[in-house]
Amino acid sequence: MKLRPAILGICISTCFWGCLPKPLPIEVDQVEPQIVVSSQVIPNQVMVITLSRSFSALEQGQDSDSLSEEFLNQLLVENATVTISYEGVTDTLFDLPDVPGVYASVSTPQYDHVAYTLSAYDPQTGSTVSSTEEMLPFVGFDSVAAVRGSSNGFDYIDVSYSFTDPPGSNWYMVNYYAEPEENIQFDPLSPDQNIANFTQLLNDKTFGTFEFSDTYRIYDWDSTNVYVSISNISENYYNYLALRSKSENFFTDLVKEPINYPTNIENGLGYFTTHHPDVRFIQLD
Amino acid sequence: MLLNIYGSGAVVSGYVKDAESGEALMFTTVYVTGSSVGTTTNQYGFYSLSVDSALIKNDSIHLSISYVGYQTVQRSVPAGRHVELNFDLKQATNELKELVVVASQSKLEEELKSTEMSMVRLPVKQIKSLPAIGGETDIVKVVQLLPGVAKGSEGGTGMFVRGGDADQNLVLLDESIVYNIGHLFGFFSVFNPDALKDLTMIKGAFPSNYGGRLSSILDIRMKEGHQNKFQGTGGIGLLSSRLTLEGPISKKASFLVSGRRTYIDQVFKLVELFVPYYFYDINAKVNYIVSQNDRIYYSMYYGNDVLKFDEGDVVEEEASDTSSGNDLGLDFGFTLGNLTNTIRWNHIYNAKMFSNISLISTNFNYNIRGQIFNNQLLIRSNIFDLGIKADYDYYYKADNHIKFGGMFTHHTFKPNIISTQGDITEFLESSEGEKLFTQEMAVYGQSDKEFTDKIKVNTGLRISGSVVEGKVYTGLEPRLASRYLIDKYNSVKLSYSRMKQYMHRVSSSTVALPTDLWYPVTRTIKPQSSSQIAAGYNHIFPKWQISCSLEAYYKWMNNLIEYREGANLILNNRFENELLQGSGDAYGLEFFVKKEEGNFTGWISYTLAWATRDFDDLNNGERFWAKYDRRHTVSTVATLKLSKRWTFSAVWVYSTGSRFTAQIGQYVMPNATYTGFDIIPIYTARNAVQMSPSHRLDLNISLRPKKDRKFTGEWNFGCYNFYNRATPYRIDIVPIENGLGYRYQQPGLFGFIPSIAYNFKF
Repeated sequence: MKLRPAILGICISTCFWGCLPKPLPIEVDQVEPQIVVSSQVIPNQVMVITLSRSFSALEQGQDSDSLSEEFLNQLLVENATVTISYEGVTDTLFDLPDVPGVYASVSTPQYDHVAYTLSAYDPQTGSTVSSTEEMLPFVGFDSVAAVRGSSNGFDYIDVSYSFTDPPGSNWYMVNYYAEPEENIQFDPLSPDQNIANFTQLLNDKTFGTFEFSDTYRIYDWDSTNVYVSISNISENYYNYLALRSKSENFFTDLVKEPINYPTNIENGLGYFTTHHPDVRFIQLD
Repeated sequence: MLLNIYGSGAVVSGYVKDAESGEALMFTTVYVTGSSVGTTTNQYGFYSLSVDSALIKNDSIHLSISYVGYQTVQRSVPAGRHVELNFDLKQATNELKELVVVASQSKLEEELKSTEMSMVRLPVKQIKSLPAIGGETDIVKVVQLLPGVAKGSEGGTGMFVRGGDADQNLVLLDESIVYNIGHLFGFFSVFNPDALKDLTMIKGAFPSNYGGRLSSILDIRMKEGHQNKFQGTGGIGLLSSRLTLEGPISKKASFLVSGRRTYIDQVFKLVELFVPYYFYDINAKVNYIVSQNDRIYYSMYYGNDVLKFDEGDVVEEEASDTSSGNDLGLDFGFTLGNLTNTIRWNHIYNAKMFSNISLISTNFNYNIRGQIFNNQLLIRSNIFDLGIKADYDYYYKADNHIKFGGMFTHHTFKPNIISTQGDITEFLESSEGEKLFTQEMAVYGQSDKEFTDKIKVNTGLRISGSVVEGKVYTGLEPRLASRYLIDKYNSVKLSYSRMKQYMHRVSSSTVALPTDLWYPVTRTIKPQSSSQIAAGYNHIFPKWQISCSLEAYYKWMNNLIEYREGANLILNNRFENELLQGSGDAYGLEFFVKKEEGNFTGWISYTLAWATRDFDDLNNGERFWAKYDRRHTVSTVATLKLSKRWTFSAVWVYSTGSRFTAQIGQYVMPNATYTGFDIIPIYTARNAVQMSPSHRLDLNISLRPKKDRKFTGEWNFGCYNFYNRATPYRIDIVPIENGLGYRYQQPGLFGFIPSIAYNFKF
């Protein structure tokens, strides 16, 4: 670099960056920890509830990679009393051995159009959370197929499927998973490294007929095994997922107003869902 | 005898101009000497004064004509039924202080007596010596120092007037709407001060000839061009340079051409840094005196922001890296510009009737293009307005000035025209957008009548409408402004205004992007409306040439527009589905004291304000604070002429911090596929956190040459944010230095920035 530009560069840098004002401190009250609920239903087998606690914005970093397993374990709510009530019956869920914060029931029957009420009591904080959700009818695939392809240097998989949309207003979640390669251990803290997953949300207002079929192209997937699932979900959960999906958009993330995600948990956070998915496995050539 | 000759009196009319340049002087006071009978020139420098026979003495009418910064002229003219009389006012010099004081006092008295309130007029000459970022005088940033005007983020041109939103300000340049008033993402305004003459900011008590926005009118007038001699002015600053040329074309015509260009790109190039961005402006104006009763003006503004980044730049940047760039086919950039054209015809029908008819076109467009490998993306958006506007002044009597007129504008919107080529078409298809044609129209009338010496009332009605997609919206907009003159030093004023707005800007509320679109109301998105009442008390200190005002206001706003949480507005042709409508309230108190004449000039303004919003689908349906709800704002602006050569100016600003939605917690949730976890942030209620107050001192000192020569230069040495204090614009979470946890901090954008600029005139 010549001398004159170097001096000019130093001057400009001094003017514009050297005098950047010192940021001002500010105190903002933190939200009290709340119980966070998530749930999963495996059709005709098990209902699983996971309880954890929210934590301060100043406690850990802003991305999942910065959370240690030890810290995550601290968040899980142990020894809680968790029940699910339906049609006048109350089932108490049991702790999964060696998996703190996870509660399951294998005896709870799964009835369509029945309201299931979750209640969880945390003896440590004395707080109780609850939520009620109607179990929607099971909707499964009529057909599913997948084809691998490549275009202009991009690998993709076309997943074609069809299903029958029951009468009335319905909302669906179609999930696509790529099975991790055998030599990579599944690590839930770093999902992007070991498993690909996509979620497609469907609203039957956009369907032309009751027999809905679609082909979804997933770019940059090079897996040999693909899982595809469909779930008939509630409108509220559909809106919740749509909001989360929108916030993952890079541009939206840049310019959006912050979003407080909705919850159906009274006195807590998260989402209690009772949908039961139809999961299909496809092995590609 | 006199009554027999002159009947009910005489009418004197004509133009008031600057004696040197021939520029029309607007809002000049013309009074019958020794009486309270008078008037002011309109925006084109025309006046008409009906003089009662009782005021005609010795067959003569004795008139005083005064304007701040000019010598007061007192003239006796032979009385006649209709007297045509033009005045040329000379600029004040220090040797004629008494005449200047008279002019200033007349202006103060006129302000006191007028029904106008919530209004500030600033000659551009007055603000040129004020300090500014990088030495770039910026009229919008000066407007932000007025009471009731909250600034947006630091350094930006966003204005939030009396609790309104940034798109509720009607910005007019020679009657053309300027849709995008900012360069460089809003850090500089598009207005080149060298080409401008005067600006009027109206925040309430809106005259009925203005409409179309809820919160303010910023009416900016360009110079007309020197009618007597050729001259040039210009300036060389750290960020840009300007040159203005003006002069007579013939005895009846003059011109003005002004240009400005930044050289941020060129300056950084010197230090081998690559900043592929610049902006430029061109202003031009021609006026032609057709006859004593007819004048024609043509004015034009064209400005553009240009960002251009291509493969050649990459290769140049990384010349040593042979693997980079060569095969990318990289080309990225955007242009963002306004083009306005106005043709105006002033016509004097008779001594009492004046009209201005304007043909106006405005074109605002942006183009974003990107290319990598064989993929091409071109996004274009465009608004084109073609309109006609007619304004009539009828000086019915000395105590009753009637205005009426109308406007019609045809808007053509072409948002989000997308053109793609290559593999990118798999993801993003070409689309023509949804072209939309709308019409906006209004008729108005108002009477500014003095009922007694103490009571004057301006009553107006504007009927506005818009036709869009076959749907017709109409709005009745009553206006009322009244004044009660307590004595010669005190008056109280009261006003009511109703406003309708048929366009809005589709924009993220957090960041101003070149992709922000203006869009009209639709079948489902209704026009925004507001009602505002304001009460004010005015006091003048003629001896010190100081005026004070205290105003209280309350504004109700309906059908305000916000966006759904998580709304994606970029490349979204269906953004109508993302819009929400709600209401808002704003109220506050404003104190303003100003001194416009003398060696020491400036003003102090204080604003105490509240602004809230209420949307069913935002913040759980609970009322929340507007983002720029700043409780206290103080601005102190001072200019001191130390000597003939040295002028010192300072601006000190204090304001309560703007509002922010801060993250206050987080939790872990499995993603929808149960294959991993996401960390979900928990935020406060919308805009619940008030950031720290900010205050800033800007200084400037000007040095003029010892003697006036044909070519005179002036040096300006200044600094922005003298004591380098941050003006918070966001709240970040950052790691604590010792690595144990995190903390909040509020960064500022601009620290201490010294500047040097050289302005010249020849």
